[in-house]
Amino acid sequence: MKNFPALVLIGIISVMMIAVLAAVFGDTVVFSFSSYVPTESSMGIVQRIFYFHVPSALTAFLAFFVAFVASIGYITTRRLIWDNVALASVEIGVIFCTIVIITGPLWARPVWGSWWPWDPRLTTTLILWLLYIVYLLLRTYSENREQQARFCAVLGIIAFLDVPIVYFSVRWWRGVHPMVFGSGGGGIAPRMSHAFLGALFTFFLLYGLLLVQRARLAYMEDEFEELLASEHETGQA
Amino acid sequence: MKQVKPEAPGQENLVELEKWHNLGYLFWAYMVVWVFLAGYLVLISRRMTRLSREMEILRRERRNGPAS
Amino acid sequence: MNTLRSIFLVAGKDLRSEIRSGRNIITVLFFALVVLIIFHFAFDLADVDFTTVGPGLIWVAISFAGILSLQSSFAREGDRDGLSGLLLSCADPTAIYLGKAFSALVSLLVAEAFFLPAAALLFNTDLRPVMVPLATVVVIHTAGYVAVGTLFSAMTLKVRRGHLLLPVLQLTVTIPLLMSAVKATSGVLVTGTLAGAGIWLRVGIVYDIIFLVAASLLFEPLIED
Repeated sequence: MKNFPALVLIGIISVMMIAVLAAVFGDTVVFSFSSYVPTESSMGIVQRIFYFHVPSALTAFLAFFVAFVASIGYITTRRLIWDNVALASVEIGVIFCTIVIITGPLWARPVWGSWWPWDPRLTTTLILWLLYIVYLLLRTYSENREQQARFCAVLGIIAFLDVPIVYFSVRWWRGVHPMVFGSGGGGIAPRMSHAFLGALFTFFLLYGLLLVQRARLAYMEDEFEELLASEHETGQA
Repeated sequence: MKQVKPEAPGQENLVELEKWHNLGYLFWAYMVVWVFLAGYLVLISRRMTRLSREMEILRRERRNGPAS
Repeated sequence: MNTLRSIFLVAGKDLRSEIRSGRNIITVLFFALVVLIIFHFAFDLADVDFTTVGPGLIWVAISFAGILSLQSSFAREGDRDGLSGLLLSCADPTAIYLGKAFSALVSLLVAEAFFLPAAALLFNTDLRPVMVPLATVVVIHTAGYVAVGTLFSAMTLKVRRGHLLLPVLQLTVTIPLLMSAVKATSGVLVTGTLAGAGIWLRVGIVYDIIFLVAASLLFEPLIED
């Protein structure tokens, strides 16, 4: 078993996922079973999207931050492994961002009555999503591997510097905005925060697993290209 | 964020009934999460398997000299 | 001091050729006007108060037209591989970046200096009373636009079919700058003073500083080949 650590990690993540699911959905699957989390009084059961929506958003931010650090790493050291990590992190971040901007409207529609209420956080996520899609697009444009890594590292840094400006601009754009959680949104029941923290931790672990696997794949692809290139050379000689 | 606490015994059923409202949204939201995550995981592992197979072929070819 | 001289050398070279032909500025100006006219007919803006839609219109037109200006910024060197020549001649890449950004800023500002009065005329409004605060807002936000745009201009010139990528890159990264510019401009138009721009003036300045510094640092690793 050469992939043993990954398998163990997958096992742990699965168990944690099931635990979180049971805590959140116990009563929606088995009617007599009461779930660990209480039902929110004003939003009803749909509020439970929260347990996966917010951890996804935080994981996406983490992913983009890691990509930012990896981009700086590439610029300073010029080792392709940093670029592999940056690519992996951006790709996973985009996946989580996609989850956020799809589950967001599914939550907003029953609670606020509109699919897209231009909530600052949701809008920030949308702009982030666009930014990093462009990053992935840039990757497909360059043919020279080294140049691709260099350009993407530059964009990885620029895009992340844009994140706080985007966030505050979107926030101040309307003056007031709907607050659901956080300061001014009232507290959160202790059991809710247990389930939430459990979900968050599980998502971070999942991110770590995906990052390692995706970066390894990118690394292997580089290795493969190198092998192919050297093959070509010996074939010509 | 308050926990639902039915005041009167008769109200319990009403609260219980209201709770199931909008279950469809919840269902689709979670489907999205699972489909995306599982899909991505499958995609990565398939690409990885294919790549390692191709690499193995290339390495073997190099050891034995080109086949043709 | 050597760096400063190099900056003005690069900027001066570009601006001289710009003044001689004027092609770049005129193209940008007319493109911006066309965007304005298209918006006018798309939304029938004849009777609409300029302070409500004007700032948005102006900045959308400038954002779109600015792309043309950025595209030609490094393409001028691209024709005969002049960027490498430039690199060989004055060595410091940061100076090249700053020189390029400066000349792009000046030519975009010249285009805007003609565009804004024309826009005011078309929408039957008088911008003369707010000229100074409006100019301040325009200069601050154009600087941010050019700071990041010059970097992307150099980047997209080097990849194949990069001209397709430049608008997408530039417009996505400058979304917050556009928001700030629109809010600041409408604040100035409504109150008539620079204080009306409020927090958005600071957003613009912060954007300028962050991206000018980042781009200066990143330009060298970007263009080395």
